[in-house]
Amino acid sequence: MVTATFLLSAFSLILVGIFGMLTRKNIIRILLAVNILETGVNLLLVSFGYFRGGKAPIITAPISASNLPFVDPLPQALVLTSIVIGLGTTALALAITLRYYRRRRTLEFEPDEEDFASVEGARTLMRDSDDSTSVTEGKDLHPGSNVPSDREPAGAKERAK
Amino acid sequence: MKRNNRLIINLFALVVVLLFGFISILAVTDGRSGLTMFSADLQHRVSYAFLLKSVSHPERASNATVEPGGRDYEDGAANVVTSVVVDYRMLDTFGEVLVLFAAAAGVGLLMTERKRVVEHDASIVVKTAVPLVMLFAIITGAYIVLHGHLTPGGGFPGGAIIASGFILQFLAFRESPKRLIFKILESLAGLGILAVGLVGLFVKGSLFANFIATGTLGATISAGTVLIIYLLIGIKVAAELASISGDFIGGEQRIGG
Repeated sequence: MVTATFLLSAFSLILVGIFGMLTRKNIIRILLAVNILETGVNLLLVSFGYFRGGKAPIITAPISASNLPFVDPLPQALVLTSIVIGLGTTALALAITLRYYRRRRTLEFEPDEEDFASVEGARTLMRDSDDSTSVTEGKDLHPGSNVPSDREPAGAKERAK
Repeated sequence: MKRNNRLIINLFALVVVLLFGFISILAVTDGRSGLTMFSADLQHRVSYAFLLKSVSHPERASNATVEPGGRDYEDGAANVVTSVVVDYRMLDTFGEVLVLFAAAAGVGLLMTERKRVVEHDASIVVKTAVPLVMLFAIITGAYIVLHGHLTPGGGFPGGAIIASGFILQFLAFRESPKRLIFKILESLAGLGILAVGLVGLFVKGSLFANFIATGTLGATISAGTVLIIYLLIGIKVAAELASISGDFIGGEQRIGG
């Protein structure tokens, strides 16, 4: 059955997206999971308007109240909006991710010790002028907790100067 | 210890996800209380009025006919999805335009002072092909934008295709991609959409009402404000996507490009 195919594929996309959001640490992978989730939701919404043998809702022949061979156009219109909003949130999330990377030098939410062996290699690739470290240089943002990532880039910048 | 934590998190997420999927599929296919999602006829749905173009006069729906070549329907777009998006539910589309604007403004505020690092020039193949591909991209995008009321498409995918032409240009040449002209164009197009809505408010009494005579269904110039609004949306989306990509790629700002 076609509707079973639609339901199955839409729900598998949604469930894969939710699983990815819950279990990944890398921000880019979390954003990818959010995108997959949005695609699944859009597919589910459009599939609610499906009729067997229905055509695309474009009027090319005379139609009347008893002769409506179309699929439902309203979910398609709402999904149009939803796709565009997914684009907007992905763009803004990627911009925030870039700023996060410039500040914390890592793309994960919980960096541990072995990640900082590759920080030196990552810094040679990033030759941007970073104007945001002047705010937190020298300040201990998390007193009492062992978060090395805020102090390490400032110290590394001191060494590089 | 870390690996044990990951296993526990993965298992917990799997259990939550399977539970959610089970409950959702039960909810969607449950038929005990009458209509389910897949058994409702078009007669019972809201789109009945949208398809027969009788939203303002729903009592005429049962003996209305819509045919290509007919004149002066309530909203003269042959593409029913376009008539829903741009005419009947234009307020939702206006909110979507606002969301796009907020995203572009947010990216512009966050991506500041980024010098573009070009390690290699693009190859001669790319530099020769990009002007040709960009020409076809812009023409195809403009066609899709202008025929939004007749064929599938409209302002949003057409604007995205036009923007992809500009993104190709940013990637292939050493031009500075942050241009003020994109942001000016985007703002003017957004103001134009709001102006069309306000004119509809003053002429016909409701925001974004269709105040131009809708003409012949299926003609290129038809459907009143639908054509104008989709044109403005196409310009706005193209300028927005090009400016977002320019902000991500980085470069110094030049006035007017």
